[in-house]
Amino acid sequence: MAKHKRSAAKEQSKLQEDAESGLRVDDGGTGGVGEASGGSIVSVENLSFSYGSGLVLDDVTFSISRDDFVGLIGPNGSGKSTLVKLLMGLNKPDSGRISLFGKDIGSFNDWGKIAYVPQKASQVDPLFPITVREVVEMGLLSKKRFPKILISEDKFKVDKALKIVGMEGFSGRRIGELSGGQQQRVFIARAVVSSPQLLVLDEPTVGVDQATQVKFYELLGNLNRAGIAIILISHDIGMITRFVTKVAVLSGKLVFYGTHKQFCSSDQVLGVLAKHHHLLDLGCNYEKHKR
Amino acid sequence: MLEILGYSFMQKALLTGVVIAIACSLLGVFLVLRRYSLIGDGLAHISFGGIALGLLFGVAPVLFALAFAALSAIAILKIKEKARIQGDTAIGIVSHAALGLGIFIISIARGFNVDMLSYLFGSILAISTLEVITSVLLAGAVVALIMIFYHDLTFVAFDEDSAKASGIDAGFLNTLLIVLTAVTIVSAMKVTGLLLASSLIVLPAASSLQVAKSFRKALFFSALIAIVSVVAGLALAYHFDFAASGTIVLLNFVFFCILFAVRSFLRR
Repeated sequence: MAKHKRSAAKEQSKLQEDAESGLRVDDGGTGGVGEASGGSIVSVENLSFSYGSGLVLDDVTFSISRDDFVGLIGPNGSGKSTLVKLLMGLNKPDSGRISLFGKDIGSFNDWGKIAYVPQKASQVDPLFPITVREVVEMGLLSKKRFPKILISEDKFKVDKALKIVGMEGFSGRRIGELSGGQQQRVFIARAVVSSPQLLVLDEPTVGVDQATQVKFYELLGNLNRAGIAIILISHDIGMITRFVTKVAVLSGKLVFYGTHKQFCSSDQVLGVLAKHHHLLDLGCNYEKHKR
Repeated sequence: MLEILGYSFMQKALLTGVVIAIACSLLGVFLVLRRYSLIGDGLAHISFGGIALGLLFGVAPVLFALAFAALSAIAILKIKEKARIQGDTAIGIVSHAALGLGIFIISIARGFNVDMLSYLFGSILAISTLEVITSVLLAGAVVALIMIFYHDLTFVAFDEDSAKASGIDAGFLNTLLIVLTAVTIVSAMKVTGLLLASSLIVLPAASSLQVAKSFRKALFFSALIAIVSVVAGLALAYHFDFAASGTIVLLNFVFFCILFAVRSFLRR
């Protein structure tokens, strides 16, 4: 048992080392050129969006810096996924402004800096004939111009990304044969293989058991320390607030945006969330787990 | 067996059949995985309307059907998008309208029922040199475009949201996929006939998906199954005087049954 624990700790330490050394974000020596003033890589100002006559997002304003790990939480239908779709350019806002890496989203075209991990584990078609390696390769090939060919350096990057998420032994396996947690690790590998500076995850652990979720969020923490800013959507407040550096609470409007400590001391926010969620575990008793 | 290769008509049939088989089977993998299997049937109905219009106006029916099917394919996407209805309903609306148009034209024009039969049931063994060139060029263009956009088409088929978020123009690729299907159906109608044209899209892909573990292998097996069924189907049709199109489709079905059984056995 002790041996197993030591082995697990060693593996975790190696994982963190790999993440921090292997995927350290390369800003091309620019020292953050392209970032808005104050070092923010995402800036949202007075953003509103509606589906038909139903207002989903109302006057939302916030910014994210490159070392942030933001947990975006809120009740069902609070506009979390809509906000992410707007940030990824999949929807257009009714009003307001979104800037990515200092550029208005309308003229932003450097999508290689941003990687997206969808709420996918429960939606993967088990019969889709695609290997783990092919899925990760997509992350590189989608950023390439024609002709889209993988060179030997790319193959090395794919190997490295798989190693970082601990899936190097599954390269030739069909993704539909893997568990939900393993599939999400593969999607993380696909996201980080192109060395993004911002990673956006939309409820990535739906259908994944709690032990796997903890490992998954620890992996995200490692990636954040390696220099990747992270936006993580979740409705599992108690779980993610143990790992994130900032908390954003959305309920149509942005109800709260600040550090985890501020979040836990805001009686008003806790009251709103407890009322909506009927959840009492808001992760505020887990300060000791935070880095 | 090899003596049949000495006949000019058989050489034309084999060349056309193999090239079309490759185009249909590659496209089929993308369509089946995206649950668009029946779009081939819809586009075949649409092509029927196009052929009837071409015969009515005395214009090359294949080219008329090609333009008609491609425009209708785009119309299907637009109706789906603008009218906010499901894709299968949009296919049904456009394809049944085109089928109705075809039947209406036949009823008022009279006299080209015999021509229509060759398009409905296929006549690969009586294919002309011009038809060979047209079919091979169309199918060749489809294969080339699939190869060029292979990676992006695969990403969109597997995970459309993530593909969009990566900057891939999924709207363009969806239009490309459906237009290529229209072109393929028209180029395949002399091989299997319009009534069975989508079979070369659905069956080899469905068979391949029983055993393939990677996407590249799925495409390879699908093409292999389609080629073998066309070559063997033509040989059997020649020797036993069977209908070539029906034989090709039945062979494809046999392959599916065999691979389904193999997969079921391996799963035990």
